[in-house]
Amino acid sequence: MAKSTTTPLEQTARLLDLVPFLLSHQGISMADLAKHFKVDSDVMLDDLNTLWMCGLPGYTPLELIDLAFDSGFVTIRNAAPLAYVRTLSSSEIVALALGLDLLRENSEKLGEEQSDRIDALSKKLREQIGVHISIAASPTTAHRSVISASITQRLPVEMTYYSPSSDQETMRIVTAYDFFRENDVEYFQAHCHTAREMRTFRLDRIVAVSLTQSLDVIPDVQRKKNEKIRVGATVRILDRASAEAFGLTFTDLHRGGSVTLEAFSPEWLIRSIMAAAGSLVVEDSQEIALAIRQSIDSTMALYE
Amino acid sequence: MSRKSERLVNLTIALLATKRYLTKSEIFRTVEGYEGAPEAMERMFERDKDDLRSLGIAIELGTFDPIFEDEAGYRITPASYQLNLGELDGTDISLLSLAASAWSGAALEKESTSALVKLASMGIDSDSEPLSLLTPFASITNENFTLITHAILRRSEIEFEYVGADLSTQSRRIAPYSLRGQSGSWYLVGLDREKDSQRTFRLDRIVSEVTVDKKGNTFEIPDQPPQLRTDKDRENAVLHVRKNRGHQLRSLATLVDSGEEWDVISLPIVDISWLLRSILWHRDDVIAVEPAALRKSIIDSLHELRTLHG
Repeated sequence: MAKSTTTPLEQTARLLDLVPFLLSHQGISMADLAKHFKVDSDVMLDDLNTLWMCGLPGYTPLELIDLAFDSGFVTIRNAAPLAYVRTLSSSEIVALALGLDLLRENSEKLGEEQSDRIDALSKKLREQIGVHISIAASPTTAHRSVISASITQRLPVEMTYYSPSSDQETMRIVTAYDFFRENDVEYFQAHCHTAREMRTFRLDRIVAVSLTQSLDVIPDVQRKKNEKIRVGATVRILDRASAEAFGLTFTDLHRGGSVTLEAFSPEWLIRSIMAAAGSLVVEDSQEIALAIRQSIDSTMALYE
Repeated sequence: MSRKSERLVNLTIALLATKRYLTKSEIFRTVEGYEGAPEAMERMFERDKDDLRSLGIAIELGTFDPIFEDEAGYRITPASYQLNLGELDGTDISLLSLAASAWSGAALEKESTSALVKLASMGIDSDSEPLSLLTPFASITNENFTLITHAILRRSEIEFEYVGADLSTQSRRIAPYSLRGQSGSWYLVGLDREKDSQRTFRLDRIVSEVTVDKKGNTFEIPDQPPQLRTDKDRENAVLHVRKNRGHQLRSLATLVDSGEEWDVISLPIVDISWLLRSILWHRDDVIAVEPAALRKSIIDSLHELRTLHG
């Protein structure tokens, strides 16, 4: 987002970076310039007016930086002492190094030469800061790149998807439309050719995915409605893992208090209450309570 | 328009352009923006030096002639001021630009914007080939992520409220060492000042804003992270898992034996409460066999669940 206010120190940093940028982009429009620096055009105008007053001691027209921008296009002269591109700050290096981590994870599309280059750049950057801030390779990013390809190129993907409610992996063919985030979990909307309807999928539940040309679909065996079920429960033991499993806000939980548990599938709900090992007790659903008892009984039978 | 930023830029120009050290009195006499009583100018200059240093600009202090005790002077050497990443070509520039664009709308957006400006100022035409790669995407928007990153870089201690396994909130004071993103979560490793030992924290369990000490360089980050326990040192759990079930547990385990209806798997116990929950979650698809204590915990939990939902 473009910034509309700025501190003197932020402005100083920008002014120092403006000079080498303008020297390599003579005649750039004010609008483009503001976009590059992600500031409002008012802020950029103020920057240029300030820079125009700067120069070498003496401060006669001979020493001052010469800027022309009244036409809406910016040119710069007489700025030799500030022509150097400033060294990267350590937090800029972190941003670049983490960005390279993410890029490298994108391994499916990286050639060996590119991957070597990324490693070399990453090493060069990290040597300059000497701290460990990194992103470990995770399958999610590689999967995301395939899904974004599906979105941008409108191509179907063949995907093995893990469904935790049934603890099963199913094969589907989907065309993705959009990513969205909720509670720090990444989802995407897709037309599921298998189920012949729009579905929501969690990125971290993709087991394997690849682009496909084929639309030959395997019929969806388990069609279910996408309606949320809600069940009231009592908090018996304060337990972080249970709160995280149900996406409950930590501060909403009090011993003896009530919470509403939400789920798309009753099976997932039952399993998660079992996993909560007695920290949450279902109160207002006979149906769910009965299903939990049945689950417990069939599990206990295995230990007898 | 700010007089202060104007003065800071003029000071930078004067110190960069000079071949010799400029004394304080020369600076006060010639650099635009220094005015008022000598003490006021002194204070102003001290603050300006700190401000420029905080922008990563190294101001060198020296004398003209080491034999005679001249008044000390200041300068900024182009070598320390200017970007130096060694030889870079168009492909490198576009890979770095692509890396920076990962932060659009995310935590380090400000830093990546200024880094992009610097890369674009180098006058190296970027090579468009890597653009066929997809833009990476840093999904973290958490404000604390940025604060912790800066604290690590400045070696400043931090304080925050952390939610424990029993949901109790504790104040923690940490010397932050490293940040690591793994499987969708960010982990902070640091020295817990109170417990005087190294701990790991998950960022989404920090429930307050992180406060960062003003003072920097208050600790050193150890070169070698302490040896992590390897799976060899851990006790193993043996489970019976129904065919085609328990994918998550199987992915962490080795297959010991394969029967008609059940498989036997073995996995190292990293987090006993996670394993307990996970076995219960799988209901009658997984049976805990060993160790005996795990088996007993499962049976006890089942009895308790039965009583509570009776």
